[in-house]
Amino acid sequence: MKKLILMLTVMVSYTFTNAQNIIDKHFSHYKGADNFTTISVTGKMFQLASQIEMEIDGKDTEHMQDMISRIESFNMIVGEEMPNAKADYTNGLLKVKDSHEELMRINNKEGNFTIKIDESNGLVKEVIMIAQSDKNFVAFSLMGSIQMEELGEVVNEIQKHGMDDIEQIFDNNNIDDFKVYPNPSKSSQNVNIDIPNKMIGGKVIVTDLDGKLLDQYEITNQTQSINTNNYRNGSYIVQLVKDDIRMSKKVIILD
Amino acid sequence: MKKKFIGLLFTVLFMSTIAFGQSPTISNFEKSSNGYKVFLYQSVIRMLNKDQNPEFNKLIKDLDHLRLLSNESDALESITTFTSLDNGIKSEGFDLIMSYDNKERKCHVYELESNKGKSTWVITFLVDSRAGLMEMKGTLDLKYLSAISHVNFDKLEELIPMGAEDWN
Repeated sequence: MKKLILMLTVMVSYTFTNAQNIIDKHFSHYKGADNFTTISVTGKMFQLASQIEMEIDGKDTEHMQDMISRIESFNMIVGEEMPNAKADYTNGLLKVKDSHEELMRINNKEGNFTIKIDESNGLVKEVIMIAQSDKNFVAFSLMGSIQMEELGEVVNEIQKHGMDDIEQIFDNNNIDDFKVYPNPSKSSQNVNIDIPNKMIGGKVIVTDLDGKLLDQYEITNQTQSINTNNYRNGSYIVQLVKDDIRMSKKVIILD
Repeated sequence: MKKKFIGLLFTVLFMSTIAFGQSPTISNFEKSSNGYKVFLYQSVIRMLNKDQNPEFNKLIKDLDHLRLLSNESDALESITTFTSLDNGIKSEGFDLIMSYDNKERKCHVYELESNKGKSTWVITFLVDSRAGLMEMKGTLDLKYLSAISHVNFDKLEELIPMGAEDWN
């Protein structure tokens, strides 16, 4: 019996530690191509980086150091002068359609940009970004144990370093200004939404996981309450939509 | 039985060469390379502390030495040199910690932890027609990393005679 438990533990640990990031899983064929740059950083490097005492704009960075220490890997590919960058972007999204939930999407004339996450119980195991601008294509994966509320901070930090082309797409759409709480919530209480200033004039759309429309509101200010009295137990998607920008968050409703 | 014992002995000897002595890949490259061959012991690195900053000394207190070796050749041969160095380091049990790769430039960071807690770090690089490696034996105390700003770069340039623009 002990042997069986030991064997199962080893198998589970093996599966966990060998969880593949999306770059290795879906985009490894780009590695080594002439017009591609690949970057890979292991958890060990993040562990070391978390020991560096930093001071950013005089702010305490202890929280940032703790967050960095929980990162297991970062992988990125950057393709330049790709004749079919847009097709690569679309195909890339198809590959992660079922494994990752959409968190944010921007489609406009400068390019296309999507952030997706693999999340369970408020803990993000992988955050991925797939983007295309003109003939450039970028995809990255960040794996670790990241709290949902830390995600905006992490993505903004990554965005600041070495993604100039993508930065203009990001512009001021800080996803950490988009909050849905309490989460999980009870159907007897309202769900509150904090909305980034830039999304005023757009719509809040609530759907179930199959995409069935449940509620829709005009955004007139930076907060919105949703009455969930008629919602059953389960997960729902709250989306903010304005022009070419779409931000999504999952909310869980319990009886 | 005797063969097995000799095989085991050979393996142990080989492993101890790697863990406690010179990396065969680095030693061989040192003999054959035609570019920079710079070896900086801790005592020399201390001389780079331009204003005798105490935190700089804390930063390097567990650093044994730094070594930079490079080879100058045409682009094709440089790729071969880089690949051979990289494969050699990997085969000696170093763990890949970080990598940056594109057509013209490559940089791989490896670490080998010894059982005495002292690490050896090796960075293999390819920059245009220059391939080489940098070895760091020992560790930096990262709490004091900001003290790196106290490095006397004029002095460093005397020790490593190369223009920084070559490495950008």
